[in-house]
Amino acid sequence: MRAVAAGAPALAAVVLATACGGGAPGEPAAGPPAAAPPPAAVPPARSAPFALVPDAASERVVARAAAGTRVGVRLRLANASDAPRAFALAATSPWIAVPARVRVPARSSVPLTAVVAVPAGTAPGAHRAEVLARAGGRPGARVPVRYESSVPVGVRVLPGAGR
Amino acid sequence: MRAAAALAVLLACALLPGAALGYGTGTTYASGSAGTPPGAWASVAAAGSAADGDAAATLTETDAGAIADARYPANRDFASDASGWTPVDNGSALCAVASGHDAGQGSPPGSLRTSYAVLLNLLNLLAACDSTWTSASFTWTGGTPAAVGFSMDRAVDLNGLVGLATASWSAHLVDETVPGSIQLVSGSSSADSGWATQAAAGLGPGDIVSGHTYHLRIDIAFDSLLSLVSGFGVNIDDVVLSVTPQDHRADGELRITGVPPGTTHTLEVRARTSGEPFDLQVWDGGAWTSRATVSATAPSWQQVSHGLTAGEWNGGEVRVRALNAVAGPDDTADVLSVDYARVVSTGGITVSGPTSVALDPVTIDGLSPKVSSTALGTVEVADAGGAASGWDLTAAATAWTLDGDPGESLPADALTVTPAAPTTPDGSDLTGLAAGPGGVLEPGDPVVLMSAAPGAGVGRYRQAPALALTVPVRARSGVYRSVITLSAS
Repeated sequence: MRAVAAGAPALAAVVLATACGGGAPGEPAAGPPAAAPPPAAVPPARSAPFALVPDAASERVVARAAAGTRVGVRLRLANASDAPRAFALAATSPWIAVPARVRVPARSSVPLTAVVAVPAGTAPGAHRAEVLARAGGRPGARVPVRYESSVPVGVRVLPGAGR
Repeated sequence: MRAAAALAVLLACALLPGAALGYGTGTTYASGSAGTPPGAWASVAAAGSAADGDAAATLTETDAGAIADARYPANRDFASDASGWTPVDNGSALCAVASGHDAGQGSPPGSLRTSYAVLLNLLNLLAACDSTWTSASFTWTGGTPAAVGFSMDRAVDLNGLVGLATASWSAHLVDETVPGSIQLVSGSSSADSGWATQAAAGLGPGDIVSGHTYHLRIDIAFDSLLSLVSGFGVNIDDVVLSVTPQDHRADGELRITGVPPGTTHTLEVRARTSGEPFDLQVWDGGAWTSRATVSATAPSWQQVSHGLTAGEWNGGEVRVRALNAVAGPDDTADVLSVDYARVVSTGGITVSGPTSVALDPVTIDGLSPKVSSTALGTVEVADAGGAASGWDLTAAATAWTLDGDPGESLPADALTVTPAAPTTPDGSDLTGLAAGPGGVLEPGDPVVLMSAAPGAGVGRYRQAPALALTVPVRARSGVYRSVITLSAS
């Protein structure tokens, strides 16, 4: 065994996850088998459907901007849950800025804008990125399961000002 | 051929809600109205665009006529007494008048009576006397009325004489607030006249002013050239001033048809009222539910946003009801202006499922790796918008790190996932659906759990994969954590 505390018995435990009801951050780690948490008594909570989509009848959005300029692209975040929810947003490109967190009423969608800023000096061409919305992942769970919805964002860098 | 025709009909029905949304977002505007009266729609087409400035459809209240008329004065039929009515008798040297309640006359019995007697009149002079009945006061507060009416019954008793005495009468509406009066009815008779009803002609809503106090006055007069006669009289019964209040209400629908299926449907209405608030309700196939109240007035607009339930989507025909049905007199025709009413539908692929997973603890014995297995739980992918572009449900996981020592982690290949056969909870077509290969869940390398081929995957599909975490012999004891991320695209 590796790195078992000095003096510990040869029989040690690795607790990988608690039952559904436990597992808050900072919760003391379980020790030997006798301290293992009880098995799950209720099924885990479920994440309701949601979707991040273009705010238009298309599968993806394309931003066209010259180097050194910025342009907004319209997205829409839909929450199919019967309760309001907050979603974390992120982009896979540093060129794209999105709100860090968006709250969406029950069964509704809200528009939001991703701002694409093309760095000065960028050569004309096509770039691809994604904007992601994340939800789920029960707070405090040792193995949270979270969900992502994404929109492909194409950035076409145009020749012109800012080069 | 018959079967083919039936199939065609079924397909047509399936398409009724409108073309599938597919990707992204679609917006459907109001295109029709229904439900009135009360109320009347105008310029409904203006609610079908958000790009026409502030052009708006209007729903204007109309008089529903749902409130019974108010009747004055309080004592109108004199069934038991003349309470509320005050007589003033004006006799003279040649005649006398006396007014009071007559319990025997009337229909039903009970009336006001003014009796007349001529005293000694040797010179056969004109013996004229009169009397005035004044009702209790009353105040009208119901706004400009829709209608005003007056009627009363009267009977004349001149002892069977004809042409030897004359009885005359008139009824008046007297405004005490702004002094003035209106003659309602009048008449005279020189012979007996049985009970008859007289109704005022020409009375209108303008003859009663809200906030004014009124009373009724009935003047009765006699004259005769006779001497030493008595028993003449005029009876009055069933004196009714009826005031019908206006009752402005509105109850109308805007209908948004052809709303495609989707992940969410957001009803958006931009509206304002000229005065009274309007209730906005949505039909869910069985009942109306209030979802907002429009109370903003010009120059402001109120933005209403409501996430529709599946029932309120109503198969693609969204019905929005604007209602103003406050009970009570209401002489103002308030107007609801609707700049637009629309439903924003979103498509796309969604994935949902458990928010955590539990792995049983394992005991390290230093002899062999230990495996903790569990079911991830049911994960559902839905293409509610009907994109039919095909999709992959993928999973990834972060490294398993030890609590208190993030530098300590399980091997990158510790967690594996084994997908099961796809299922559907609602009979969605499983053609083109397949379980993914599964494999090792690790960061940056998503594993396909389930996939739909292009042209397939419209509906709801489920996947219940199994997880297995292999703990190496040399793992340190403690609690390890990871985050599993699922996505479908």
